[in-house]
Amino acid sequence: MVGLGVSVAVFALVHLSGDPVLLMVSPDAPPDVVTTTRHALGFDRPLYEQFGRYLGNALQGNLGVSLRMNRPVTTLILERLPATLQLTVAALVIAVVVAIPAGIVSAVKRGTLIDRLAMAGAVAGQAVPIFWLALLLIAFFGVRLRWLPVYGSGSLAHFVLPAVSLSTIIMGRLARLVRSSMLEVLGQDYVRTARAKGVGESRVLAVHALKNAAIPIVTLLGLQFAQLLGGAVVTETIFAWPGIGRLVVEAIFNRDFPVVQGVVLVVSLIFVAVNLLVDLSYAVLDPRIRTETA
Amino acid sequence: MQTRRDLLKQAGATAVLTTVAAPLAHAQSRKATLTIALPSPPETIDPHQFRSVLSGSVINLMGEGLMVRDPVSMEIKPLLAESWRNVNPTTWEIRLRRGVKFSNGEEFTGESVKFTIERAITSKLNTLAKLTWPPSFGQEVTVVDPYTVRITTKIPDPLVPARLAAESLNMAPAKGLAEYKEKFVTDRFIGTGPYRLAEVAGTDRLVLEANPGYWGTKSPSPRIVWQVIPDAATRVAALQRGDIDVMLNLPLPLAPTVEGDPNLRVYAELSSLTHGILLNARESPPLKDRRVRQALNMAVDRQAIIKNLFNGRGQLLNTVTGRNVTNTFDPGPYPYDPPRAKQLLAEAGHANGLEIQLWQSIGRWTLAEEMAQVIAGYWDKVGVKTKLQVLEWAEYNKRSGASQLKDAFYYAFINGTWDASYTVQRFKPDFASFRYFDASGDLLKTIRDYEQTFDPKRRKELAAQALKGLHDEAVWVFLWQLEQLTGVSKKVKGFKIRPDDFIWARDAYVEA
Repeated sequence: MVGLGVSVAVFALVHLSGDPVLLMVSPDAPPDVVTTTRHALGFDRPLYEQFGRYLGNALQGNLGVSLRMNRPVTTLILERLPATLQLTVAALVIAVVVAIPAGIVSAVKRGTLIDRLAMAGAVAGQAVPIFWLALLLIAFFGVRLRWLPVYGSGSLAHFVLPAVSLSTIIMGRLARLVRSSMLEVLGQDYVRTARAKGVGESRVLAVHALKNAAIPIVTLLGLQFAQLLGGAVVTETIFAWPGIGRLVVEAIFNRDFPVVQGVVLVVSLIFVAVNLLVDLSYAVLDPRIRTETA
Repeated sequence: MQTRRDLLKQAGATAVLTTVAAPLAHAQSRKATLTIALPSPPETIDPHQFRSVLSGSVINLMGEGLMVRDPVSMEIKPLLAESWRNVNPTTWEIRLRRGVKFSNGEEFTGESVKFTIERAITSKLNTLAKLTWPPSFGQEVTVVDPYTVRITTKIPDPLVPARLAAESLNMAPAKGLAEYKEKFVTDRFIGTGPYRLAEVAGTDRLVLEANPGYWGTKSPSPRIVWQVIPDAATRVAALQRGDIDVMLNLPLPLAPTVEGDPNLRVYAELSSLTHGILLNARESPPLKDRRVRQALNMAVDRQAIIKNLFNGRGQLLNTVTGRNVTNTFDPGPYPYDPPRAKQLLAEAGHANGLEIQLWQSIGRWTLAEEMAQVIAGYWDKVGVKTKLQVLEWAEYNKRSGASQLKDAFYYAFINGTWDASYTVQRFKPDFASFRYFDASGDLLKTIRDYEQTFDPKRRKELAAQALKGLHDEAVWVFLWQLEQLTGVSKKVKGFKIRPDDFIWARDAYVEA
């Protein structure tokens, strides 16, 4: 249902934005060239017919052919989706590795200088525009120190700058959420009981506190995954990363309808799948949810 | 003591060593790969269905046309044609070069010419060639013998050699692409050019390697890599690191970074784009009056705009064609003279001022938004209250081409045939697009005569008359031609951007 809804919305929006044929031919083009091109691409057919044909093909895995590159959209997406997913997952891992410890330390050391520094960093991370940070990283690590490549993909080193840039989108928010969730949980009776029983502090934090604070954190990660896919548009453009973000940007500028529709459909389906996984993970993280469902 | 025979042996050995060592030393002094970064990927590798100059520049390292423009003088020179002559006003005979083979081994013959022109112009494909040589002109190709063809047109057309020299008409093999006559080619490139396609990495990287069977002078760089890097700042960073050798489309604000690097240089070439503000003299009542159009020209200090907005990187345009185009003519500038502009407006009945709309499209041309604001400011000063309007590019392109924009709008034109007639023809009342001023009387007669005159001297005279007439009519507010900037490593030699913006990489290489 979500896929159908997205298909209708995207189809309507891209067709409302104008005639792609006029971008494909020059304004000087003789009228017969415009007419022939429009007919060859099927844009002279009624909209419902165009949509019906698109939907029928999409159900069979055929998302059409790129108007600009004349290659199957499915092939283009399959060529580029792995790069975007790799970058997104790498950014997510960096964000988790930095933000969760930072949030926990902030909560445990509440009100101290460490807490203030960590939260100031989190707010700064949220406030910094990603393109600006990316260019700073390029200037410093790429041009000045010459440690890391500044464009393209192909090695682990190529991941560092784009993944770090992309991770800042969620790092700050995640650290703040971990802190607040942990603060809430650390005041609970079962944490006090665990401490009273003589359980070590690290075990209290990891097993008793963090696990109970995990549901909002996992929910945020699920929602932010989609934001990272969106944020990848900027990152991929700056670092010439060969993902679907750049594919869709170029397609939008060229009114390459089939590519825009295909990418939006695939990304929305990924979003739905990730959120389904998040919902299912609740039962694993909190046995009470399993019991209530049963 | 050395005998005569010993001396001869030594001399022979030296000669052999020199012969062998010279090219080796030459090769060792050059890097194997020239890497050029471009902002967007070539939209296709189809020999005839590309649109952008960037794509054409990549494709035409692998393909060749019958004629070619010299990268400096823009003269038409033979390439796959050896010679051509005008048999009568509607028939051209072309003798073809012998012994040329396509990269698939197929021989280049008259059949290749016939196939190419039919595929590029008379097929249903959406090709660039149809714009520079509309099918309505007629292009019937007769193969007289394997190395001679005749092209018959429906109307006398002195520009046939110029049209054949366009990169959109590079020759394709009749047998090798037979099944693609009405279809896109996406998986191969078969051409006669100095390079062949070695690797396509997605849409981000295209690797060309020297064509070992090339018939002509070999290009100096064994490999040319076209690398897509969309962001200009990243392209500059890659250039500074030495990852790439040339970065195309260097934005003006980043030029100082390149200039400040001791290993790099800014390569500036006057772009062929002619910038102007088109005035709707057909449908906007005040602009029907020539005096108002002239006043709008005199109200703008173009030199100040070029100096302050474009850092001096541009030259004044005084008519509808650029400086280097064949048969161009410079009638001299309209002076910056606000009092005279006010006087002309008063004489036209607008002593109390008038209101007009000025359109532009954001993101299409460098600093267009700022430029429109500055010009509106100049016009306001002489009593022309200017309302700025903005449109998204596709809609802007559609409305401007369909002659729907009122009263004035900003545009920049290429010249597809590199002849003044390409722009001058737009002012005929029967031209299909961009009709904002209809020439009439003597001016129209001059334009029509110019289009069908074959004698070069007479063509130049008629072009000058037409261009002077269009200047006097103030059909546009004539603006400028701007430099296009490229960031280049100082180790790169032989790299050139032709006056028509075509990237000339076939003579380029990188010193080791």
